[in-house]
This record gives sequence, structure tokens and C-alpha cells, in this order.
Amino acid sequence: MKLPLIFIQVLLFCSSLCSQTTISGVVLDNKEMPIIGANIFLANTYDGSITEADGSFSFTTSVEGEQKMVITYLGYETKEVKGDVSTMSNLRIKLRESAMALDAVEITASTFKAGDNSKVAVLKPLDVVTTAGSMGDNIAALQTLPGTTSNAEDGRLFVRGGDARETRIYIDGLKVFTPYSRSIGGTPQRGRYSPFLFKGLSFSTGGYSAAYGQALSGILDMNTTDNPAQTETNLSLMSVGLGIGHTQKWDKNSLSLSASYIDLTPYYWIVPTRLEVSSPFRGFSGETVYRHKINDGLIKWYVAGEYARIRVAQYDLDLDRDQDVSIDNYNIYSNTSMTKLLTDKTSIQTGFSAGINKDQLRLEDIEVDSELSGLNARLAFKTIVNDHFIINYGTDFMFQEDVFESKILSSNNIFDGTVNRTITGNFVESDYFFNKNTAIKLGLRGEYASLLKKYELSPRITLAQKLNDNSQVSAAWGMFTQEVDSEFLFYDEGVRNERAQHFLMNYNFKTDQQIFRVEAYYKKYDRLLTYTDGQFVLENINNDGNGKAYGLDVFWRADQKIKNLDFWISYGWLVNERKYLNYPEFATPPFSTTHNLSVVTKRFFSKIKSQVSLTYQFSSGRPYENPNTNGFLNERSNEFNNLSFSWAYLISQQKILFVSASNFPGFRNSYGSRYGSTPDVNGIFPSELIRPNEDRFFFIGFFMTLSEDKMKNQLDNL
Amino acid sequence: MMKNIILVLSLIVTSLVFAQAQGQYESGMQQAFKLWEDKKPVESVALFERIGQAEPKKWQPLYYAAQFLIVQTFQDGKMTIEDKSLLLEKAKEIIANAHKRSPDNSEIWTLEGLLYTGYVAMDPNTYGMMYTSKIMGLHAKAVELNPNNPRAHANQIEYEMGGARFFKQDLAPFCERLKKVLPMFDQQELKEPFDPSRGKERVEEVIKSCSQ
Repeated sequence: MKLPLIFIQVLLFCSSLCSQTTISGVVLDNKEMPIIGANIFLANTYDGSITEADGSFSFTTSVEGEQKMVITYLGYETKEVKGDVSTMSNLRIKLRESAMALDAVEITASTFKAGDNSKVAVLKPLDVVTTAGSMGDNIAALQTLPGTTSNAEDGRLFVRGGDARETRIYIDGLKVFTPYSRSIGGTPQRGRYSPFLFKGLSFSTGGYSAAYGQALSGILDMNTTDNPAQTETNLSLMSVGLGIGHTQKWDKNSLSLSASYIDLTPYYWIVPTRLEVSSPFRGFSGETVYRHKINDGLIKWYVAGEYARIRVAQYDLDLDRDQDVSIDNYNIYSNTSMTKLLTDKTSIQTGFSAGINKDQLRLEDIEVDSELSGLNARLAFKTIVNDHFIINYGTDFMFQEDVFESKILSSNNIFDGTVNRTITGNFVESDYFFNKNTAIKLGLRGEYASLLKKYELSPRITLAQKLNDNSQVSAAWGMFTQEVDSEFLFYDEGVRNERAQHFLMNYNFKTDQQIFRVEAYYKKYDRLLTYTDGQFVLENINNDGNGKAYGLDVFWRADQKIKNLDFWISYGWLVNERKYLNYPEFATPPFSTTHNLSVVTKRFFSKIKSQVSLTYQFSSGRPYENPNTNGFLNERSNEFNNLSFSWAYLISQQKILFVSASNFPGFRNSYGSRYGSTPDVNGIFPSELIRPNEDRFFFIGFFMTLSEDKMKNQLDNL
Repeated sequence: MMKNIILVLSLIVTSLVFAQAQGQYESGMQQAFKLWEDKKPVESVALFERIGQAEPKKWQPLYYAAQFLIVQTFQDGKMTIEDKSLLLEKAKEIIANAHKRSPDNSEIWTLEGLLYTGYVAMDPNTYGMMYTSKIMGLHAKAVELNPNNPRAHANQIEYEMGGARFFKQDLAPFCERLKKVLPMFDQQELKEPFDPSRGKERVEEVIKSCSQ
């Protein structure tokens, strides 16, 4: 009987008093400064403490033997120390600042982000749609950022001396084959996809990640909304058309449907236009997004379809009369993507996009049909090896078929062609943080092009160094390649990929209230496509061209620096010379302007419940070719000025009235002159000034949301 | 005989150890609340976190760790946006962990609503439009899981009141709705010790401000 009693006594005694070990020490950062308030404890026990003002800590424990001690502190890497508790006294513990911390150095030069990641966001989620002059087109809003040259009559993105085709557009990491809506007769093209499908975007004007290929100048990747907040119906009534949308939300699934009809007919009754419009732009479009939540992940399926038609009479200088031109466009695009956490450290992103685009162009007796079918598939992984080392790797595949047929209807003369090709890419990219202040990104991309039967490597590197709490510098170098347009591949499938090298230096300053960045760049092009004009066809198609572009981009944004005012100023200086296409000599291409300035302001007036925005844009003269003078592309157009205004009035939480006017002072802009192809009897080529179809553009819209939650409105749709 | 004694003894010992562990949890939680009341938020959150990792089945310590992190960002006027973001990020992590321990828990969904309300309060220009409907959705989910959760109702109504104030709308209907929430606080059924039960005083204060 004695034995169990002792047993009990020992147990009871021990559980309260026996072997109380004191654990003590000090917690420091890498500069030997004490860390105050770090949480320090033995794993799976209650025993622990936090550090004092001098970084010291001390607590007692009754556990014995091998234990794991854990030290955590906000913004620092969690540290674990294993050992026998009896040895855990007078410890010196050093914590490393986490490279994942919010204030760590960023290794993304040249990238502008919008969205919810406040660490790198330069634009706020709504900026894309509340910027005056953007007319609800996210592409137009991006043209207020430095590094872009705004070509108002074209509408597409031109980045740092590159052609519009050199900037590739992606949705959720998957290629968009025909991102712009079709237009003719000098009406600017618009982004095809409605901005309110996206929660954020990443726009890179150089030195981008090895995850992206087939782009010489820029990348725009837009991310669709992961999860709609609630079930709701949206209605819009606009001076240019009607729209309706509905989102239904269930527990793990959600479905959004939207449809719109755009018709410019009533608009032209009121606003005069220079364009002889026989049938103004009319288009139907519809979009569907289905999202399904899975364990630790999400599947999204997005499909959009559009039909549009426009018919105008366009003056032809050679014929000295109007020509009847029409275009019918059919477009379908689908995008399916999945993101999922595979393990604690590895996530997968995979999906595919498919697109079909058909254009039917009629120019009196000539009919041109072109059809594009494309597929892009992608499998990518991200592994966070530890707090200092991240690897991204994966593979992508693209198939594209272009069919082209040009007919002269009266003689039934047909010229046609088909080109098919695949491009397979592989990439690996690592981010390594030496510490919170210094980081390097090393990337390598390989691509195999089926037409060339060649595998080509493009290495890329970015270095970033934080100077102090608010500023950092970074430098980047990279090689980028892109296949030539299909219209040239019809002639010769052996044309090599064009190539560009980017050299960048970036300085970035950021506080809560303002962002300032300046970036110098130098781009070297080689293997650019060249040809000579034959009598009927192109001849001597080759890769003999080259060029260079260099310049400086400045961006300054401040919010509340002036009370209630949010503004940004972008300035871009660009020198661009190339010899490509059929250029007889080095010249600055017509889409390239030396000075580019944008000033965007936004102010909310609480008293009148209105957000008012003003945008001013300026660019210096555009080059154009005058065959009546010597030299090539020597002439310069007038400077471009545009002042736009928008006013959003919140009638109630669910009703908004939106009014906007582009170029309301009516600056007389022109984009150079176009010339006839044959000189008149005096040997002079006839000419015509290229002017926008309308000097001003007005828009009025009324937007309404029907939902259970009465606070949601459509401000983010504007 | 000996066998029986040993059996009885070991039962006693087990229950002693168990009682002690239970006592440790309760005293630990009470100590953490005391630290919070004594205006020692860092200590309080650290202790809740320690209890949370020592009791891998309990969601309540994580709930309070996250709640007190978020509440600090409302209360401390001196904190920079950077500091607040750190606290909110951490709270977000803890809430994700709490969801795993107790899926479909109305209180945790309500707390997640409070988290995003914290983001909006921190920087309304950036987060107001972005998170408003998300917050609504989180509250709706919380109400769906427990239609009598007074905190889910109260937080939702208060958030809506913010919008109504902006549009200078009549606040009376919101106050009427809040009054209906009050009895829910008295009818709460607490299944486990330290289940969330607070919030009545806050609602009473808001109602009081209505009539002024």
C-alpha cells in the first residue's frame, strides 16, 4: 500500500513544483537592437512570455527534456530553437526580418499594379474606371501612365517606342488573342473586356517576368474577380446603349451573366461627326463568369462573345471620292483557370484559353475575310522554399491558326493563305532575398517555335536594393522575343522571331500619401522584320531590321497631400529610331512621340455626393511621311492636347448618374497628313489632314443596382 | 485488490491531470482577458496565441487574439498605416486558422467582417469600395449560419449606418433595427466556456446616440 501513496504524492507534488526550469535570454534583430514584444514560448505548452523593453525574457516551465521553443514577432521570420530545457538559459536569439514582410524590397521594376495588394499597387482598384477620358475602357486609363504613348485615333497600347502588337494582353495569366474591338475610319479601338470583371491588373513596361513570352515591349495581365460578394442585378442606361448584368451567389459557386447592346445611331443625331456614317457602330456582347470554390483553391470559367458591325464612307485621295467600307466582327473568347494550394509551400496555377475571331471587311469590290483560332495552355507552380527564396516554374503552349482570304468580287480573283504554328515555352524564375533590403530575381525562358524548329533561350535578371524605409533602386536586364505578324508568315514561314533587349534603372519612393518613381531605359532591337514593296506582293521578307529606343519615365502620385485631392502626373521622354518594315532608312515611327504628359486629378465633394475628375494629356508632334519632300518620316504633326472631364453623382447608394466629356475645350487635334499614292499633273501628291472624327465626345449614363444589400452601387462600373 | 487500487488511483490521477489542464485553460484565458483590460494589448494577444497553439482544438483563443489585434487598429490613433497593416495581416492569418478549427462558425465569419471593416477604417479611399460588398457578404454568411447572432446583425447595421450618414439619410430605421438586436444578447446560448458573448454595451451606446 505504501508504493501507490508515494506514487500519488510524487505525482501531485511534481505537477505543481518539481523541476521548475527557468528559461531566459534576449531577443535581438540583425543590428543587435533589442526586439520588444516578441512572443516566446515552448511549443504545445502554455509556458511563455513576451520580451521586455531591453529585449529580455524569462519564464518558468515544468516540462523537461527535448523541447521546441518558438519565437514570433510581426514582420520577422518565426524562429524555432530545439534543445533540452535545462540548456535554455541566457539565450541570445536573433530574428531575421521577413523578406515577405510588407515593407521588404520589391523586385518588380517597370510594373504598375492596380488592385488589393497595397504593397505594390500604384493604382487603386477604381482608378481604371474613374479616370476622366477613359470612357470605361481600362486600356485608355493605362495610357495616363508613363512609358505609354497615347495614339488617340488608334486606342491601343504603345509602350516605350514599341508597336501596339509588341504589348501582349493576358487574362489570369492566359493569352487574349484579339484584345481590342474592331474599328474603321479613325475611330479608336477599345479594350474588348468590360473593366468591372477584373479585380486588379499588372501592367509592365519592360523587364518583365520569364513567365511571359512573345512580347517585345509590354505585358498587361488582368485578373478576374475571385468571388463576387453577393447576389445582385445591375442595369445601365447610357447615351450609347443598354446593359444588364446579374450575379447569383451560392455557397461554393457563383455565376455572373451580362449582356450589352451598343448603338451609336442616336449619338450621331446630336453630335456632328466628320465621318460619313452609313451604319454606325452596332454591337451585341455577352459575358459569363462561373466560379467554383474547391479545397484551398478556385476554378474560374469565363466566356465572352461579341458581334459588331460598322459601315462608313471613307474618302479616298487617289479616287477623289468616298468609298464604302464595312466591317463585321465575330469574336468568342473563353478562359478556364484553376489555382490551388498543393502543399503548404507549393501552389499550382493552370488553365487554358481559346479564342476565335472572324473579320469580314468589305471595301466596295474587295472582300477580305480573316479568321484566327488560338489556344493557350499553361501549367505553372510557385514554391516558397523559405522566407528568402521563392521559385516559379512552369510550361506553356500556344497554338494559332490564321486563315486569310482576299477576293475581288467582280473578277473572282482570290488570294488566300493559311498559317499554323505552335510555340512551346518553359520557364524558371527565382526570387532570392539576401535580406529584407537586397534581392535578386533570376529568370530563364526557353521557347520552341514549330515553324522555325528552333529552341531559343531568353535570360532575365533584376536586382533591387532598398535605400531606406521609403525608397529603393532597382536595375534589370532581359532578352525578349516575339514572332512576326501572321500577315508576313503567309509569305514566308521561315521569318525569325524579332528580338529586344531591355536595360532598366529604376528609383522608387513611397510613403502613405505619395509615390514617386523615375525610370531610365534603353531598348535594343534586332532581327526586326524588313521587306520591300513589290508590284502586287511583298518581296525580300527578312530579319535585317534593327533599332533602339531610350528614354525616361517619371510618375508622381499624391493623395490628400492637397486636401481631398488625389492626383497623378506622368511624364515620358522617348527617343526611338528603327529601320524595319519597308523603311528606306532609320526613322522614328509615326506612333512615337518625344514628349508625353498626363495629369489626372480626382476629387470627391461630400456635400454634393459627387466625384469629379479632370484629365489633361499632351504629346509632342507625331512623325509622318510627306512624299512631296525629301527624306523619310521627316514631318511632324501639331502637338496633341486633350482635357477631359467626368462627374459621377451618387443619387443614392444604388443609383448613379455619370456624365463625361472628352476634350471639352475642343482642342483642334490632328495626327499628321495622309497622301495619295500617285502624284497629280504637277508632280504633287494630294494630301489630307488626319483629324479625329469628332473633336469632343460626350457620354451620359444612369446606373442602378438591385440587391438585398442597399449599399452596393455601380461606382466601380464606371 | 491491488489491481483495483491501481485502477482507481490511475483514474484519480488522470482526472487530476485533466482537471489541471482544464484549469490551466480557464485561468490562462482569464489572465489574457485581464491583460487586455489592464491595457496590455501586446501581452494579451501573445497569451491568447500561446493558448491557441497549446490547445489545437479550441478556436476561442484564436478568435480573441485576432479580435484584439483588429480592435487595436481602431483604438490606437498613433499607429501608422504600415503598423496597422501588419496587425491586420496577422489577424487575417489567425482567422484563417480559426476557420480550419471550427468550420461554419458564425462568430468567426462575423470576425472576418470586422477584419475587413478594419481595412476600410484604416484607409477608406483604397479599401472602401473594394471591401464594402465583401463585408456585407461575410455578415450575411454569419447570419445564415446563426440567425440569432447579435454581433453579426449589429456589425452589419453599424456598417450600413456609415453609408446612411454619408448620404445624410434618416438614421431612425437603423436604430429600430438595432433595438431588435438587443434581446438577442440576452438569449445567447453559450455552448463552451469563452464563447463570444460581448457587444451589448456597444449597441446600447449606438442606440443612445440615435436619440440625441
